[in-house]
Amino acid sequence: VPGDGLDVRGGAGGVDARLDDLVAAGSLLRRCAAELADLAVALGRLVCGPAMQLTGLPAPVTLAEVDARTLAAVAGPHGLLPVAARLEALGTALGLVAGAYRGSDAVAAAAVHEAELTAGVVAGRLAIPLLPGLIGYATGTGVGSGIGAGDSGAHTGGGAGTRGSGAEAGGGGGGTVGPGRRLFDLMAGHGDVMEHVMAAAPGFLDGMVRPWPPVPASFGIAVAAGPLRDVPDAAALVGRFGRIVPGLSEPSRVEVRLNTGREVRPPRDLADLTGRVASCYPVDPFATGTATVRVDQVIGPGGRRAWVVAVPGQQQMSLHAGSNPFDLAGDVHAMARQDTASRQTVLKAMEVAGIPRGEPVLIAGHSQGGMIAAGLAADPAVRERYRITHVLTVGSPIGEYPVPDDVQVLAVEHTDDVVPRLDGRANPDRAGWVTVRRTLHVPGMPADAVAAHDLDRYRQTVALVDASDDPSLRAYRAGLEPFLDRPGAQGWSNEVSARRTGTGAP
Amino acid sequence: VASAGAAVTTAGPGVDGDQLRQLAVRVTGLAEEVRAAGVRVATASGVRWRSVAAGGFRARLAEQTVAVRRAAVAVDDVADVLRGHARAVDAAGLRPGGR
Repeated sequence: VPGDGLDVRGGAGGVDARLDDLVAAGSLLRRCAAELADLAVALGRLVCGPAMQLTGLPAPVTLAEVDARTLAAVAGPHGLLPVAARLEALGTALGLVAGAYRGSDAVAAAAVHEAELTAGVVAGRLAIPLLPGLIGYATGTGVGSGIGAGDSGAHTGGGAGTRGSGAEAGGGGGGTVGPGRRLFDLMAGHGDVMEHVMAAAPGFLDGMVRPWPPVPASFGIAVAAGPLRDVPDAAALVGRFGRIVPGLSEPSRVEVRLNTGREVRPPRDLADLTGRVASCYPVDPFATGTATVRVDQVIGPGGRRAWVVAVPGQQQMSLHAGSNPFDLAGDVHAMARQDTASRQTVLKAMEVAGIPRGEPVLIAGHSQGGMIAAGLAADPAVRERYRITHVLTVGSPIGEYPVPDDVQVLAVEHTDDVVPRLDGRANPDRAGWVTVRRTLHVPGMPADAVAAHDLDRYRQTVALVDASDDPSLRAYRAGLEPFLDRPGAQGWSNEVSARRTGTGAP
Repeated sequence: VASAGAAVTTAGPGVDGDQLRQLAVRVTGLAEEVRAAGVRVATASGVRWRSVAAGGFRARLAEQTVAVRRAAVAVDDVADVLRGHARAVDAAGLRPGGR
């Protein structure tokens, strides 16, 4: 980790890009080998034709020397064909090396995942007899309320620098810091462990719904759940409980309204882009009845247009799906990669703002907003309609989203932020996907999970990303030119407000 | 195949000294193409790969880069002996087209 505290993985300087380099070098060597072999054939045809042999009648000695030298140049120890064969072998070996690296990495990742799932299953089965005690602990000590107050504060506090610190709002939400919040902070202080815990979580749920010895009453749930292999599976199971638990239902219908647009400067840099996301949060943290999504149009000096879609995160922790589409139910269903009202909000905002087919689109999001951004970029139907070229996420768990290689992704995460760990999976290391991690808390000191998820803190980290010389970050920034301010560029901002419908909420 | 190789024509009937010298020029062109391929081969050493195996690869690649240069010299040798052969053919008076 360099002086700016940023740990950069993936992108142009990442492992996968290096493996791509190996493959490219292998191909180069094989092309050179083929070229040398062709040159050897050309030389033989040039010099050893039948007519050439006729010249041996007047000058047999020199012709013999021509034949000998040609044979040596083509097939001798230092000739073209043996060299071509050795280069072909070297090039093939490089390709195999890259494949072996990728294969061993995949095998290692699969083995770790299996181990985590198995540990989770065992823990889940052991938890069954302990469940009454655990529920008693949770309800008796306010685990849920402690996290809830902090979470809400973090999101709304992220709205803008003038709106106060989300960390303070969150920390003060409950008056005192309860054991739930302390647990949350403890998890934040051990982010790497948290990632493994979340990877084991599907197994844990699986162990709970499929106890050993089997409990007859669990058969129905087990069949309904199917095998739980990853966090989306587990989230889908939780989401299915929405049919019986009102708080987890997710009516995905929304109404949107395009507010009057206004001229704005195009974003200056990544920090400014993150600021556009912050501007989507309500100024009043309690006025969360509607959600706002921003769709900014950037017109370059030559008239070429690009679009920036700014998507906020969760704003309501209510147990019931309310009028604001960005809520807890949306989080759960987004984690399961299912349709959500918040996702529909963004799609409708893009539609009413008039983003045409073929013009480049960057989607930036915080928390749930980042999940929506990655989900839209990964959706073939959406990509058929919109040309999403860039995704910027801050504090979002997006490792499970199959974003295609031609979309450039920058994921910014704080190691002490629990939210990006919720998918239990490290982001892919590949040429088009850069993950930046930064640890906020001082080693040895307690972590503050709520502050770590705060958007203002993320803006500070993104400002460091803007200033970084890391090759992967430089490469990502270089691709942002159509979306950023430059001489002769103009900007137009559309704010779209949205309400969930069909909830019965006011 | 690069340009000189693609433009190759087999030495036809009635080959004389001048044609042999033209052939030598083409063969020299082939040698240049071999050298150009060698330069491209050498660029593969810039691959971002650090390990014991990578060290072995670079050593093998360096050997092959030298081998390609040697192969180019061998092709140059063919051009040289072709010029010598052209002189020998001239000296033997086999110049049906005249010079």
